[in-house]
Amino acid sequence: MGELAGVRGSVVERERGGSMAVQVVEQLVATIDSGTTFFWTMTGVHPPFNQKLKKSARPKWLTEWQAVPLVVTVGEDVLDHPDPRDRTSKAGLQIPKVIVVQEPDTSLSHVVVITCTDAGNPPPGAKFTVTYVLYAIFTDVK
Amino acid sequence: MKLRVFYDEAGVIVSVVQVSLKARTQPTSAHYSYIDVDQKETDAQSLAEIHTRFRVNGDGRLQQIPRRGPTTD
Repeated sequence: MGELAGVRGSVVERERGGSMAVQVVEQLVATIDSGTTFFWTMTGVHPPFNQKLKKSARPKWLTEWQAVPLVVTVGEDVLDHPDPRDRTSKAGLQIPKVIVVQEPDTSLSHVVVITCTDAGNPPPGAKFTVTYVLYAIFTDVK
Repeated sequence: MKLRVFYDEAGVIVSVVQVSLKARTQPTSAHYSYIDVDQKETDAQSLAEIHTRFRVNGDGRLQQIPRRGPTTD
């Protein structure tokens, strides 16, 4: 993972010997409303091929995504109109799918779909805003 | 702090974003328009405060949402 030099990572032992480098890198901190879905297009994801495509080409690592809720904020309009669901609300973030797109220059874009739900109440749940951090998890391909 | 504010066609903010200096990717969203703002230019203390207290007006600037009073019903 030469291109990721300078970013702290960890080494996880594989079950059958050898080692597999895993690096977790914070990409962004963002806000999202409960009951909504946001589509991130993450461009510049590790380009696996810097030459013409060929059958033997393989990416050096794979990228996964994970969003972690940090802070739950209730807007002034909600404070003015309290709801019983507010007491039992829980921030839930879901990344149900990631779409991997090959760009014309052979780099990749990942379309990361993030949905925020109130995990503490049945739909539609309470109204709040979640501040979350989105991490990219890079795993070496051996 | 430099922030990117995404908003819908009605000017309602859908996300306020701070991209990490360590990020290896460039995030974009084809679904919404955006403006770049400096948090110092607002009196907001957090990303969520900008998200909940402001909207984007027709000139592409942040505008504070007037607070409605509590109802008595």
